[in-house]
Amino acid sequence: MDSARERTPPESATFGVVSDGSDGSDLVARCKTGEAAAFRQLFREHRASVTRLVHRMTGGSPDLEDLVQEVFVQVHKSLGSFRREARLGTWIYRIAVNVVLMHRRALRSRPSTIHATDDAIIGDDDQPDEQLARRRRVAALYRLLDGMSEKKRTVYVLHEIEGLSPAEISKIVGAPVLTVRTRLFYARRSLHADLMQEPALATLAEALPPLSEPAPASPEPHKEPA
Amino acid sequence: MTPERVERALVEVTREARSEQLPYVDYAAIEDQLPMTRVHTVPPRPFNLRPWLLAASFAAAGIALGLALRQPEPHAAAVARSNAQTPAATVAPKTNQDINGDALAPGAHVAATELPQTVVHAGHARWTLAPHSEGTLLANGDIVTIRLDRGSVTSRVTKSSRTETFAVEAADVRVAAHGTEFVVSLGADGVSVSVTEGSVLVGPREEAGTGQLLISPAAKRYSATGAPAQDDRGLEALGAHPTRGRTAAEEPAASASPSADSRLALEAALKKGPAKRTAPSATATGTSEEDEDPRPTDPSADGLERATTSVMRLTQACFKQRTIAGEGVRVTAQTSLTFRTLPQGGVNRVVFEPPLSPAVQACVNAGQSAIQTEATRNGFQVSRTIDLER
Repeated sequence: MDSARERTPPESATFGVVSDGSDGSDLVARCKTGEAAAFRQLFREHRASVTRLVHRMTGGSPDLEDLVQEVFVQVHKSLGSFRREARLGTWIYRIAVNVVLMHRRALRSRPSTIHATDDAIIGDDDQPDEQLARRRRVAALYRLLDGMSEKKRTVYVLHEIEGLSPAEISKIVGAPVLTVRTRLFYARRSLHADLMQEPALATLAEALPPLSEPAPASPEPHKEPA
Repeated sequence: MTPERVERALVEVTREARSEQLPYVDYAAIEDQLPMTRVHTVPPRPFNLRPWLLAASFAAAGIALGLALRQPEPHAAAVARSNAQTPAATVAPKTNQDINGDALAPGAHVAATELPQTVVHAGHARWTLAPHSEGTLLANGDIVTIRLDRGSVTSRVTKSSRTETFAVEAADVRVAAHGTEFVVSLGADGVSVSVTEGSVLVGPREEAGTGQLLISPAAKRYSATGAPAQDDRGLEALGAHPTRGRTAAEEPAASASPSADSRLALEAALKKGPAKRTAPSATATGTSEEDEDPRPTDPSADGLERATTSVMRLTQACFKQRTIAGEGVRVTAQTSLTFRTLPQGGVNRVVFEPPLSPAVQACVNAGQSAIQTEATRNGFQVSRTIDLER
């Protein structure tokens, strides 16, 4: 192990990165020969995007590190079957989505302690109010997503939060583009219907300024009653 | 509320989710656990090479078997000596060459000679057959399943987010694991399971996913059908074998005796366990009352932290739900919580000083039964100051 044990700062949350700039074929070929350095490079190139996806798919699971590790264990096991039909990044995303879905299914059948959804928020008592409010709103969004079916939640996260195109999502979830669009439509409709049930989001909606503000200039001339 | 406002709120909160800062992740620790550094690198292979690799691995296993058979008699004595001190399957002076489990096809039969035989599934699990033990690989994939045909097997399974990634079947008993180390021994009188790390689910073979959870360090004996043995009383029960009363050194040389293996594995587990234990007063021919209880005296640091975190989360959630306040009003409270756990695991009672409102206390009382804690001999007590906010 090299000296990479320093505390890595959270990598910036970029938007919609599936492509690694190349198809990764050279890296995969080196990995297939058993070159440990190549797999280490693959891990380092994709760990941030995988972490971001897993975090968003789970809505902030305490098992984040375990899940990221599991994704790369699966990647290592499956590299032999990588056929370059998709970009390496897309292929890894597909594995990550499957790992998260397996995890969620397992959670449902596993006895567990009570999971307080806002626990991470409450602990941070030194945060500015606005930041705290924003984290609450995001937590509320994830709660709404949590109530959705897996299929709708997956496409919503991949499209609206990860910023992937329906074509890319269709490769990840293994469904036609039209199906992806349909799921996306129903996911949005479901969120529209339930959004006001979350107080943090209802407050946000109420606080939004109206779109067409009346022009503040030139007050109406006073009209005498007829 | 107009749909237009709802839509804009949704867009806004989605944008906030996109720009959310990620939690800290210890990538170095993950990298340490990845197969590239944990296990010798196994080059992934195209599917059409599988038969060749399979044949090659069988040839390698055959050569290893041949070499092992040519070993002179003193080897057996060496293994017997190691039996006298440590679990045979976990420590041996020598082992056969490891077999690449990923290259084995379901149905492959693996037999250990005078030496333990290890099978490695890269990044997933490794299982070691004790001398003269035999096993069959039943499934190879997301869930590796093996059948113990004879003797004893020690399995070490890589931690995974999935509930079950590895299982051992012995007679009609199924032992399913999720990131753990455990020993399964098959004998004429049933199946012995001892867990040295993590937990396993032991149940009938035909009903996967059901059964009894064994949490380390623990050992239990089961009938061939998967029911806990009637006379099972922990360490003493594991020693209740025809060989009971002998010291380990008196065991037959190179024996695959399940009871001996299990007892030794359990003793190793108890020594290795995270919690402190009082000095054993057992002799070679009997055990004290205290040693019959495989539970540690104190909880592990991890177990203690998990229990505390669970109670604090429950309290925070209850405080949020049950504290009445107007919209936009922030309510904070600081209190000291104290809870005690039950010896068999679980929270007995959570007390707050100064007390919280009856509604919050009732909510905590109702939720505490869902919290699982580590089993210890007398339970343990935790006090912690907690800041609450609604």
